[in-house]
Parts: sequence; structure tokens; C-alpha cells
Amino acid sequence: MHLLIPELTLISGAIFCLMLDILFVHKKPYAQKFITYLAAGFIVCAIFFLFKNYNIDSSKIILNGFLRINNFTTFIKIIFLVLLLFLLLSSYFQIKILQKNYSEFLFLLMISTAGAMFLISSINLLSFYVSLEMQTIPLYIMAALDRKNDKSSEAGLKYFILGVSASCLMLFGISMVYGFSGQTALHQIFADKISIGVLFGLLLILISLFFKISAAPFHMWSPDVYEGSNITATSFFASISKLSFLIIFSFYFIPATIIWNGMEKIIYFISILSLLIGAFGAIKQKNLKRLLAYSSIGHVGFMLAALSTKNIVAIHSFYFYAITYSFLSIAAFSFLMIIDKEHKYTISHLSGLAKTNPILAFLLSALMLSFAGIPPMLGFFSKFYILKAVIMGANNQNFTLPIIMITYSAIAAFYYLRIIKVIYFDEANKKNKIALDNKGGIVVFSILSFLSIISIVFIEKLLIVLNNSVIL
Amino acid sequence: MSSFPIISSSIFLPLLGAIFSFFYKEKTQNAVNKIFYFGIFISLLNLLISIYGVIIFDIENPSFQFKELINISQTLSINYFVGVDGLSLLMILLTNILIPICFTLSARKITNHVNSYVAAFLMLQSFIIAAFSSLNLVLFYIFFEAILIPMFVIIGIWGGKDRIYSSIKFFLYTLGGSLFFLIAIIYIIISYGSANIIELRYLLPMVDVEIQKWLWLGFFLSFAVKIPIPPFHTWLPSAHVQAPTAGSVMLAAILIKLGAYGFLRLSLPILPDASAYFATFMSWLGVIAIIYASLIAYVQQDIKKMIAYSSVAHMGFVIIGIFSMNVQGLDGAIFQLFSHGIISAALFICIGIIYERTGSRELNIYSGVAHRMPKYALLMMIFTMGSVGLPGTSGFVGEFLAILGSFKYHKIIASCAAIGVVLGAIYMLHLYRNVLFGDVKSEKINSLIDLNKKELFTLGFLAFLVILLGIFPNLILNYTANVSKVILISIN
Repeated sequence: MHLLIPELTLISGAIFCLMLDILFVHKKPYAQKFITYLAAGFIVCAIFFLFKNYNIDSSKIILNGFLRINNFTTFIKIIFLVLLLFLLLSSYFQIKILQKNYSEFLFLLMISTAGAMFLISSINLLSFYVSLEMQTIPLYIMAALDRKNDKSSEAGLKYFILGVSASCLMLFGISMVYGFSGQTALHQIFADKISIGVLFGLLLILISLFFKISAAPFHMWSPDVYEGSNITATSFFASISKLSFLIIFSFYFIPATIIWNGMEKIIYFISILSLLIGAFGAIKQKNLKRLLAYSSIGHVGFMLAALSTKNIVAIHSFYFYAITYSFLSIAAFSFLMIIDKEHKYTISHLSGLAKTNPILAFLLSALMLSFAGIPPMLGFFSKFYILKAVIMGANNQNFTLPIIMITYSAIAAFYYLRIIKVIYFDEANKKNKIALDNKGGIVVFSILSFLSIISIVFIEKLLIVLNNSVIL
Repeated sequence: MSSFPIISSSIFLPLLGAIFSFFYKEKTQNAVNKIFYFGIFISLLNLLISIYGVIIFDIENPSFQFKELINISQTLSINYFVGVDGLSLLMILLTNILIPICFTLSARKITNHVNSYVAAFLMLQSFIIAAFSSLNLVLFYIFFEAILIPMFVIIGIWGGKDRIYSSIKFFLYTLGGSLFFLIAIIYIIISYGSANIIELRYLLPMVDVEIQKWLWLGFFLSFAVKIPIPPFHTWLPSAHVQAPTAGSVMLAAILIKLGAYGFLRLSLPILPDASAYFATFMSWLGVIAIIYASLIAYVQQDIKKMIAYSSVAHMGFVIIGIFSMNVQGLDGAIFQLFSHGIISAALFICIGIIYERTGSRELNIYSGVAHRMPKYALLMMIFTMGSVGLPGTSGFVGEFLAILGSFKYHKIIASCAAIGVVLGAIYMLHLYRNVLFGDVKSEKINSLIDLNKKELFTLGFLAFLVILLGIFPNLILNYTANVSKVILISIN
């Protein structure tokens, strides 16, 4: 039981913050600032407990076969909490925007993260479903939380309806798997020879997960939801939530692809579709949030291409790309939080940034180049690793997937380059001068962008830590 | 052998200078921003290091010298492994000669974002030196691509009217070609298990010829866009015309040479069977480049575009020399790399000088400039003759050796290339006559001022180099001899 202390810390912290908020209803926003520090304190305690968990040698199975704690899950949970801390640091300004709902927002963030932590530990279909709901229901509420903005309500409604439909599909799939195999524990399901019914159920579960990671053709919700939601909610969707879904997807997909050969073809098709939609969909976008949504579809396509091969390098490169992508996402959205004013996130809002703020412009250009995969930034190394895995798996026969991947890179480089062009080459935007009062956001953005520039220095250490901890 | 890390200091000194100048704030407004002095100082320090490297370089030793190795990543097969041989040394020397000249000549002309300008050029210098000296395939790719970033910024911020279109076209075109190079690199790493260029030269028998041909094509796409070889050359005229003078100098003199360097360092030694298979194809492409580009240069109205097309034509000689597969051809190609670097840099500086004075690059507004600018006319004559390939100038040696080398195996191709020399003379003399000879017809030309001391010194130095190398070509050919021998050992 003591292995679950980090999650319990997080949940109790969330509830405690909510209680305090109700008690001090007369003294906001001082109370809200104090609650933010308290929440951050609980998260730091949870990280500390996770580090204490890190030294176990083998997987420990707890709660009667529902959850599994090993080095890999502990490592990912630490990453979740670090990302959450960065998110909290940069979204301090939401106190003014969300006012009464700010503490509820914190509560939802922490519960969703706790749900994500349970999700990646779950090895049983039942615990998988419960923790998935624990993670996603706060997401639906977060998407709609900014009640003054009607786009937010639209986004929340869309996400809720589509997300619940996907969860229904998943329940159907889970029930089919249980019905045809008689087991709910994952390792027992995959150990026996699986029948066509179990395969069908698995496929439904995977489709539901494709929806959650916004892979094409299940991606239609993500540009609208990203655009309409509150910026902190969008940032959470793009980083922590997406990382957790990608990891649980890999836990289901990798055993399934070992058992059934058709999985390769399915993910091959889906990854090519995601790459093409990610490349072409973002070209016409003027809103930065929608652009980042389409770019995340493309990046997910890139990651899924690695899973279409069956070698161990592919799995390592998938996790490496997912983790670095979530950090880069937090950096990009923290930049949007810096320039947030009347919720205007259009590209033209950024024009001439180099003249007013040269250092910020330089860091943003470096971040955009990292997204595009231009050396010597961090994004290039993760792309290189995935390309290496895919070419290894191509086995001298079929090189269409690498060629489509690099075509995607070349096309996607255009819209990242366009942002750099707008920053450096356009006239300064005199109407909206960027007020730099989001100090937390500036700190987060600067640290993460700077790390992505000098990443070549510590990249081997990152890779070694990751490769040592990956256990399936 | 001293243990002073020559190459690393050459790479990191300009990089640190770039970081410093990016954060520098000019306190008072001077005519010449003080940061330019800092840029000139750093690049001259780099030139001194380079000259020291040339002096202690051992000509007899055919292997790479001044090697340095730092392991970066085992999983990604990236190592900081750098070293030079004669070819890299010459290219690095060329870079270090041209960057101070760029700074000197742009000191008074650039007034906006000056510290970013200096930072961009120093970063460019650092990445170029790293690309020329890297002996790890992935490190080479990283710097090959990273060079695009400062060049993109230089063209886009300080360029001409249509700069945004041409800078984005330049970036995306070169990136697109290089991505196929990336796939070939990854395939090589997976099959050989090593990205070390020295080791790969000895590991080549493992891969069969069909696969070598595909890898060669992947390499080819990237270098073909860079050199540029028609039909992949359409980014060059617009990039050159829109870039600022110093940007054009760097583009024409150094960045183009990276493509040819890629062929010499990577395609030929690592994939020799495929190179021999494609040699005739490449030589024909080279001849097409020479004749096509020369003919198009002749009808240009914009002087800078004319010189840009002449760059394409001269690189055609380099391609013919490289794929002639013998010592004379390779020597000629490497010599032509160095000499064309100097001559085209000088030509772009010349056109930049009269563009800054009159504000126009159109050919038809110029005539009789020689009456008002006699020193300029004399120096421009030397560079024109160098471009044409007059014996006594460095342009002759490279072209002659390349055609001589190519004649042994491809007689028709060499004859066509020789015709291309005449075509080169046609457009260069046409340019010279229209701009400099004739009568002074307009007021703008009448009020031209001759070269000031800075311009006279830099152009004079470049003219001196052109004539010196024309009379004593062994100064360069001593360094290229071992390089050609080593490349040919792989092929035979």
C-alpha cells in the first residue's frame, strides 16, 4: 500500500485545496495564491515519494492484481508531476481570469494527473477503465470551465460528447474481451491464444485510444477543443494527458501487434494518414492553438510510425519522442500564456516580436525549429531516433514509410518557419504590445527553450535513463 | 604536434563571439557600430588560428590531422569527431579569409539589428568550420543543416525587396534535399554500425552495389540542391539577388562548396562503386550546368543574377573534375573550389559596391563606369579574367586541370566543357563592357566616387590572391595531392 503514497498525496492535496477554498471564500485572491503554493507543495511531496519508490528492482503488483509499480511507471509519474509543476508555474495568471473557479481548476488538474498516474500503472481491464474515467472526466470539465467564453462551452460540449462516445466504444470492447476470454488481467489475456472475439474487442479499445491521442482519422475534435478551451486546459491536454494516453496505448498495442499481424497494417495506415493531415492541415491555420493541435496530430503520426515496426529500438524511440514532445508542448503553450491578452492567439499577433523582445523571439524561434526537427535542437534527435527505428524495421524492402515521414518533416517545416518569419521579418505590431507580467510563464518558457537548444550536451544521459527504465 | 585544440577553438571562438554580440547593447550611436570591430577581431583571431594550422600541417601525411574526439551519444551514433586533411584545411582557410572581409565591408552599410547581424555571421562561420572538419556522418549532417538557420535569417532580415520568398524557398528546398540524405545516413549507420567517416572508407565491401546506388542517390539529392546542379538550382538566383552583399559572398563562396565537399568527402570514398557507375551521368550534368547556366547568364538584365548563374556554371567544372576519376581532375576540382570561392566573392563585392553607390543592379543603366572609377575597373578586370579562366589567374588552373582530367575518359564531355569556357568568356566580357566601357551617359554614373581605402584594400588583397595562385598554383596543389590520392585509392 505504501507504494501508492504519491497518488494518495496528490489526491489528498487536491481535496485539501478545494476545502480551503470553500473555507476562505471571503479572502480571495490571497487565498488562491496560498492554495497554489500549497498545491505545489503537495506535488513536490509526491515527487519526493516517487523518488523513494524508484529503487525497487522488480515489478510489484498491488491491489489484487489491479496495479503494477515498477521503475518505468515511477519514472513516467515523475515526469507527469514535473510537467504539472511547470504548468502551474506558468498559469498563475489564471487567478484573475477564472476567479471563483480557479481552485476548482487546480483540483481538476490534480485529480486528472492522479488518474493518469493510476492509468499507466493499471494492468487489469477494470482498473484501466476506472482510472481512464478518473483522468478524462476532469478534462471534459476543464475544457468548458471558462464560462465567459462561449467557444469554451462549445469545446467542452464537443469533447464531452465525442469522448463519452469513445469511452462507450471502449466499454463495448472491454466487455467483448472479457466475454470471449474470461479474464480481465492483461497478461493473462495476452498469454493465451486469443480468439477472434478478443481481437475484435481489443481493436475497439485501440480505436478508442486512437481517439484519445488524436490520431487521424479520429482527430477531428482536437483543433476545435484546443482552440476553444482555456489555455491552461489546452496545455494540459497537449502535454500530460497526451503523454499518458500514448503510454497506455503502447501498453495495449505492443502485445496486440506481437499476437496479430494485421495490427501493423492498421497502424501503418493510421500513421500515414496522421502525418498527411498534420502536414497539410496546419498550413492554412491562423490561430496558434489550432496550429499546435494539427502539429500534434502530425507528431503523433510520427510516433505511431515507429510502432509499426516490431523492434526494441522502436519502443525506446517512441517513449523518448513522447516525453520530449510533451516538454516541448509545455514550452510552446507557456509562450502562449506569456502573450495571453484578451485570448488572442493569432499568428499576426506575434509580428515583429524580434524588435520589441529579441531574446523571447530567439527562444521562440529555437523552439519552433525544435518542433520542426532542425538540428542541432532537441526535436531533431528524437526524430532521428524514430527514423532509425523505422528504417531498421523496413528491412530493405519497403521504404515508403520513411519517405512519407521525411515529406511530412519538409512540409511541416513550412508552417514553423512561417512563425519565425512573422517574428523576425514582419513589421512590429503596434496595437498589442506584449505585457510581460506572467513571470512564471517566462521562467518556464526560457528554461525549457534553453534546454532544447543545448540538449546535445545531456542527450546521452537522458537516453540511458530511459533505456534502463523501460520495462514492458 | 602541439596539443592545442586548433579545430575546436576555431569552432567555439566564433560561437562564443556570437552569443556575446547577441546580448551586446550599443551605448552611443556611432557611424560604425562597435560590435563590428568585435566581429572583425574574433574572425581575425580565427584567421590566425587557421594560418597557424596551415603552417604546422604535415603535407606528406595523407591521413586526417588535428583530430579530436568527444563521445556524445552511443545510441544515436553521434560523436564530436573532428579532423582536417588538405581539402578541409583549404575550405576552412577560405572561410576564415572571407568572414573578416564580409564584416569590413558591411560595417557602415548595416544599421538595423547590428548585433544580430554580427551574431548571425559568427554563428555561420562556426557552423561552416564545424561542417568542414567533422568526421562523423551525423555530426556533419547536423552542421550541414544548422547552417541554414543563420543564412535564412541573414537573407530574410537584411535582404532585398523579395527576401522573404527567397529565404523560405532556400530553406525548404535545401531541407527537402537533405532529408533524403538523412535516410541514407541512417541506413549506413544501421548496416555498418558506425558513423565514423574514416572507418566507413574501409568497411565498404559489405554493402552490395544495388544498395550503394540507392544510398548514392540519397546523398546526391542533398548535394545536388546545394551545389546547385540544374535542375535543382532554381533557389540560387533568387537567394543571391535578395541577399545582402556579405550574405551573397558567403552563399556563393562557401555554402555552395559544401555540396562539392560532400561529394568529395562522402560520396566518392564511401560509395565508390556507385560513384563510378554514375560518373558519366554526373559529368553530363556538369556539362549541362556549364552550358545552360552560361547561356542564361548572357541574357540577364540584373547583374547579380548574372554572377549567380556564373557560379552555377563554374561549379559545373567542379563536378566534371570530381567525376573524372583521376588525379588531375580531382586536383582541378579542389583548386577550382578555392579559386572560385575567392573570385565569386570578389565579383559579388564588386557588384555590391556599385549597387550601394547607385541603388540599381540593372545592366542597362550602367556604362562608362571606368571613367569615374579607374581603380575599380582595374580590379574588376582581374576578377573578370579570373572568372573567364585566363592563364595567369587562378581560374585557369582549376578549369584546365578539370577539363584535362575529364578528357581521359569522356572526350565528348571535355570538349563540350571547353566550349563552355568560351561561353563563360562571352557573358563576362559582355558584363564588363556594358558596365565599365563606353561613355558616361547618365548623371548617376557621372557622380560615382572611386573605391575608398577599405574597399581598395580588400579587393586588392583578393586580386593579389587570384594572381598569386595563378602563378604559383602549387601553393594549393601541394595540399590537394594527398587528398586526391586517398580518394582514388577507394575507387580503384
